[in-house]
Amino acid sequence: MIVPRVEGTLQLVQEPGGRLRAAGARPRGIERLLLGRSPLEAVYLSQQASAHSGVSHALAAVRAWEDAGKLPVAPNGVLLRELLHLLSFLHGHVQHFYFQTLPDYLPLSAWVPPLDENGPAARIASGIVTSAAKIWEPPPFQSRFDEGARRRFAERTVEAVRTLSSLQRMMSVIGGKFPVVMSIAPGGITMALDEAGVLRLLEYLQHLEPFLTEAVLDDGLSLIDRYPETLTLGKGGANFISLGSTPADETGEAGLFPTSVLLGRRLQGLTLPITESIGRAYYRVPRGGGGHGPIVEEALGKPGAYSWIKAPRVGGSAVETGAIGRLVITQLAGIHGRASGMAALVQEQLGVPLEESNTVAGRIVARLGELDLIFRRCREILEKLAPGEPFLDNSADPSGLSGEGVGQIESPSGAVRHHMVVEDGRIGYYDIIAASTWNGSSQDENEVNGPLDTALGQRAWDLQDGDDRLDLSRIVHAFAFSATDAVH
Amino acid sequence: MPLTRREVLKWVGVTAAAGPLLPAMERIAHAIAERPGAAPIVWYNAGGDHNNFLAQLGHAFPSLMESAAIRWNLVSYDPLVPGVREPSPDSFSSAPIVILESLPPSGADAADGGEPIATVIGRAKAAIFLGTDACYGGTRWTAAEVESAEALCRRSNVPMIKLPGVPVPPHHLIGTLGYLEFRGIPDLDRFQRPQLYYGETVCMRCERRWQLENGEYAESFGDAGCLLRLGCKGPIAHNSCAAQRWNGGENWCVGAGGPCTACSEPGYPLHGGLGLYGRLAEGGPGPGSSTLNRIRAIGWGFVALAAAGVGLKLAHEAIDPIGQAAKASGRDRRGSSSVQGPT
Repeated sequence: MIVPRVEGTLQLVQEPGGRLRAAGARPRGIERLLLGRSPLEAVYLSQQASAHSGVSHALAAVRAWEDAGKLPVAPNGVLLRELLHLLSFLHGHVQHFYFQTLPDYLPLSAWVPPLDENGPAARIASGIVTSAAKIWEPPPFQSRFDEGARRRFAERTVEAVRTLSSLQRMMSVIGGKFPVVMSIAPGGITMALDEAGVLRLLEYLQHLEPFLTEAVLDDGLSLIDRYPETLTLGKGGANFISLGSTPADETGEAGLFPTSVLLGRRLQGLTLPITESIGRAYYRVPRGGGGHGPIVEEALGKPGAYSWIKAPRVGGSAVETGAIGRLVITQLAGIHGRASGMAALVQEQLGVPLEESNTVAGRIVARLGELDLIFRRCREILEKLAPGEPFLDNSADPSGLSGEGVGQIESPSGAVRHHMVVEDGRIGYYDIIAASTWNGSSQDENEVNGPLDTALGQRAWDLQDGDDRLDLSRIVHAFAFSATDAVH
Repeated sequence: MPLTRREVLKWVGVTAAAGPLLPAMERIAHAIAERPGAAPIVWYNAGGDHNNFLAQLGHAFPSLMESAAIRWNLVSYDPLVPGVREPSPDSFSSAPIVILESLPPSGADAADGGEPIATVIGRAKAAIFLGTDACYGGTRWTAAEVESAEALCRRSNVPMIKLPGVPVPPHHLIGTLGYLEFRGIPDLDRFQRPQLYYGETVCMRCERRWQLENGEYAESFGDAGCLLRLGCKGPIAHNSCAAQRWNGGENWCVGAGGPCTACSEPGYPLHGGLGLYGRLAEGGPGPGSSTLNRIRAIGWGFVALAAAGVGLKLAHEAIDPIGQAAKASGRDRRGSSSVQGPT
């Protein structure tokens, strides 16, 4: 079965006995493409792995380079990067909910246009639904929402489109354009943002506040209310990873997201080795290869392989990542009180301890609940930015650099890690682990299953049954899964 | 009140000259939507990323998505995705316009008895290749796969229009659809790009052009000045970005300090060996026009190969970017991947 409404192609393959596993599809091959190129090309080209995680990849790439050369970053640039990064989260979460999650619960045929039935708003709602949802329409099914709720969702989707437009403009102010931002370079951000630019961004943000901080979560909660089976559907494993947002600033204040793993109910720093198994994936290490890790060749037809998605592991354990991972780790670490309101909400809604809340409902609520937190931090950053100060520190010249570096950061769907070796300014080795790689991970040679496979492994599935297919779609989408990201 | 054909063309011209103005976009989109017998549109994206989709979704109101009203029958399908309604001969009253964001697989059968995309293309009024990957291979397809898709169009006399970019500036698509609906095939350059949107180089309209002419170059990222020495490919990049900017005109790559990577050129991303950030030329002190003349002298769209700041020494001679770069794209893009069939 191919899951609709996923960036790229996510194929699910079925074992005898009915168990399903995520198999992904053939990669573009970005890591191989980067060999021999300048690290700056990694900042640019890795954004083609996924439109939704693009900014996060660019930041991970530049940070891997900065790590390799111990390059300085302007403090103002750190802040502006964080703002650009967080705006991409607001965009990603809103886009994902209305265009990829919601259609699993509210089919096209059940849409009710806003009240001015012949006016522009109605045509727009019809148009959006007709065009965007048609791209990914499941077979018709009965929705549980009443007419009022369906009308409200239509209105909210129209507003979501306008919100996405504004968020893209904001990202363009900082990044030059969106998608595929152009202003990330070693040392900071190349955009010389002035006072007028800051005010412009504040103005945009102000208009978006009611929608982003209240309406979207409201929609998510009403969805779960109508579909309470999502509280237990798609339960994942017990391990999580989060790879942070930005480095702590000079005051020592930590970034918005933690950098940590939760293994066997214990929080740990990232001292355990991170590996990527290709035991059951369509890859092999070429003759003479190895060294830092596999730059692999495709090996379609390899015995025992079923997936295009590699199997990243922390100390041998599979880990789930995403908004739920960030929330669980933040709370258990007691890192800061900002998220405690959200954690309380999740626990209240779900009725289970936080670390057991990684179900479809938990993942959705965690993602939408995070919007308010992120929004407030964006406003904070705009107030802290100093437009007169430089946004980029170019005192170091990285052009002939040799070294090894790791850049890690959260993306809307979870942890991203870039590992680079640079030799005389050219990339000698590059490995990307994207959020959907962690989540969509294939089984490794020790028979440890990845998070999505675990969630799918709840029971056997009948792929001819419409309800089963809907549930599968709901499980996959709760991870905000991107197939192109998973295999890159 | 419905626009006349002439008015629509005027607005298409406006978008080409002055950018993605809201009124222009809106008028074109609604005019197409309200036109009886407008060509249905099929948007084919099989397994690709969402860069073009997000660009369209977030485009100035009304975007293609918003105005792609019921008339347009906008369907994106992948023969491998069950449950999505497949276009079939009965569902089109007239020849469709096919937007190819992915290249059609050879010999694919449609799922559920629907119509394979190759057959739909064969009946199309026009095929629009969307994004550099589909147009010229980019980072996703080989030169052979591009040639195969082109052959498919030629076989059935289906006009091809290429809209490259990573992603494509969203107003290029809506303007081209408007032109197709109300006039026909726009004037195309040698790479099948509409002159309307790709007729000028980025350098021609760049706000930093005066600094190139004065020989003021940024030496490091974040510096003011022309970005030629940071690898800017503006002189060879044909696109509307400098004139029309991005995201409702908010900003654009060079405006944000990011050198142009010529993402709309057939040579992307290898650019004959220079890569995205290898320098076209060193520039020099004093009037910069001699720099541009040197680049231009080697030929329109050609890459000036000099000892660029990336450690490569390449011959200083005219090369054909189509043949050379496309072959390089095809050969190098997938590295030494050896895909083995089932044993």
